[in-house]
Amino acid sequence: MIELVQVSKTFNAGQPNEFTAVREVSFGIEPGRITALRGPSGSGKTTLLGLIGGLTRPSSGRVRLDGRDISALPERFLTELRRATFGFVFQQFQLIRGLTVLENVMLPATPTGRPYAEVRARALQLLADFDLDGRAEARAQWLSGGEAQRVAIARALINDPKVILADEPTAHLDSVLSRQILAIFADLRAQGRSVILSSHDPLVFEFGLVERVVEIRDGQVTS
Amino acid sequence: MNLFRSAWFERQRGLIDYSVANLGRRRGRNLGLFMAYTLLVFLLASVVLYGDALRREARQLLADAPELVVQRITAGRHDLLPDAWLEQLRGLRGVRAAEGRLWGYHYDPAAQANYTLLAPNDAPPAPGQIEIGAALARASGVAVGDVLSLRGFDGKPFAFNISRVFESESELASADLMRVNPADLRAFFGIEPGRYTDLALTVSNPSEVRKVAEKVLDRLPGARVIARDEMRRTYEAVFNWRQGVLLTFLSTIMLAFALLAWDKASGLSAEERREIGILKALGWDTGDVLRMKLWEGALLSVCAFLAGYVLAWLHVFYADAPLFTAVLKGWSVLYPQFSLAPQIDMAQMATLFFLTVLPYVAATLAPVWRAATLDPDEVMRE
Amino acid sequence: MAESIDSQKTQHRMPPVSSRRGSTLAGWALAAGSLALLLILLDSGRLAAVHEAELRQGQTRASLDRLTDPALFTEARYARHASQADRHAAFQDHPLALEHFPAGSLMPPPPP
Repeated sequence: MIELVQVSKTFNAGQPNEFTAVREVSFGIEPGRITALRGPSGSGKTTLLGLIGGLTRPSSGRVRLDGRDISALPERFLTELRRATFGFVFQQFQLIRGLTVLENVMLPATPTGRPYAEVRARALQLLADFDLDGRAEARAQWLSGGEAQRVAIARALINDPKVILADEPTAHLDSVLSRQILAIFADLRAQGRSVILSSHDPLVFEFGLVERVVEIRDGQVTS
Repeated sequence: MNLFRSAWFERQRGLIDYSVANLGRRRGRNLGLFMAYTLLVFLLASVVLYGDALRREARQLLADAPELVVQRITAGRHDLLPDAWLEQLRGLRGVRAAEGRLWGYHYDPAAQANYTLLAPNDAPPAPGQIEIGAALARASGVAVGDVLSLRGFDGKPFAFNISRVFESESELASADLMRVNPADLRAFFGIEPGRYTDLALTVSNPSEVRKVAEKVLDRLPGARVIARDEMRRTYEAVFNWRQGVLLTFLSTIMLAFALLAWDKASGLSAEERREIGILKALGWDTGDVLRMKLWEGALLSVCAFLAGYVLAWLHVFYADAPLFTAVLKGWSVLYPQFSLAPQIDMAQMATLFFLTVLPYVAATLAPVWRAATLDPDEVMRE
Repeated sequence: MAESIDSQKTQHRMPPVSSRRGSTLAGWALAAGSLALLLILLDSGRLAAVHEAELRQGQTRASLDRLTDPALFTEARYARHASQADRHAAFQDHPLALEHFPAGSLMPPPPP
């Protein structure tokens, strides 16, 4: 379903601090599975996640979504596609301070123009699903790590995406919270969504959730 | 399709929601900014509205000025003129009527006020009587029936009976005015009979005023002729000049304000940069981010404009501009109480709007431009 | 905390959450401002008419007297009737006399 063909990403091309994060990577990801990108820090996992999800364009190569080349799409169409297809969960949660939990969760739905009441109802439902509806009016900066991570996941689900991309989802959580998050991912998988996560946390792989592992090292796929 | 239900409208509303939330996050700062902004618009609009209204007022009054005023200049200074001049000009072709005006200034040390004394040709007061303006009555605390005593040119006191006080409505023209009998005025100022302060000419054909003025100068080489147009121009100049000074001053402040806003906003903080990155990563495109920022700037400035302009209008036309009265009054002891009539000038309002709102919106938008166009993957790498 | 999330999905305990949108607030603020502006503009007609009547009375007097300079600068005689003042009036004491009263700073000498 998602296909990378000879994808490379170089930052600061032509300058002294030129850096190639991903080097001629090719692989495919089947829908409806939990795929993990495993590798040490600096191996290019985050960049790869960004390339898969259309957050950045490859310097060379192609990214295909359901057979359609998305690497050359104009920004507006790419964004529209990304909104509908992908939900992102960032390593640092990246919630907007000063906004409430509810406002944060509803944020990705703003450009879709869906009716407010509808989006709000869905957001409250998601928060309830994650046992957070009591925190709906809390400011984002008051949340604990576990709560913030769950809010981030709820936010990623607001547009009902087919694919969830999570960058190091357990990086800032203790074992208990980590297992909780992984259980949520299992739930999403059960709902028929695809989950692609990057991690080098052994707990993730011990949990028995991951169906396919892609090893990354120095910007290249090793297995 | 109903506009209010369309996806486009919902999207814009969502963006505005974020803009307002953003403004609310730094409530203190934005409130202060709003108040300062409103004050600035208030001052600017007040000056413009007041100056224009005053100009219109003076123009209306001046409509009744004589078409030509003839003065005598001796050794470069104003001098009384003889009634022989009156005779000469009466016969001049194009002059429908000529009358000698008798008036002058009097300084009263007791009240420290300057008065204008006039002996009208039309329905003059009886000898010994005086008619005064309402401002004067107020300042001196006198009323009809009281006696007003003034020192004449020779130091001797003149006692006048106040026979009338002009109604308040005419204060702009009559605040310091005292009307007396011609004989009394001559005695008071020591002006001999057969002398006048100046002459007022009525011209039969208004387009001939220039020609008649030239003829007057021909006949009376020592004369100075003032046409009504020139009088009007004097006041235009006065008000334009004054307004110009104040406007320049205020516009400079406005500019400094915009620059300050720019300076504060430029060089986006790391926090703001991060947030824009998040929005983009969540699915907002560049247009959404920019529009959101635009709303942020526009909401604050448009609200400030509306508040400032409405307050200025109320200040000038309903409260009679107490702020400016204080400035304009200066050291005058006598000052007329007057109200001004409003007139809607859409062009002026629009100009004010663009001058105040545009710089601020630009100042809030410009720093964001660059960050809004960046690839959202930046937010992934921390 | 270690329990599965599933068991909590059944109850929707939704506390009252405010539905106050920022855009609504903005809308009201703009509407209020615009309404105020509209009202004062509409009232200007009435004000102007009232003023017109007052002015006509004052005009009658000034037109009879033929002295039409508004009494705005009564601090000194040479400022009082700006349209009649001669060239020297503003500089009585010295050609470069800097203004010694506020109105003078607001009023330039009569044009040549």
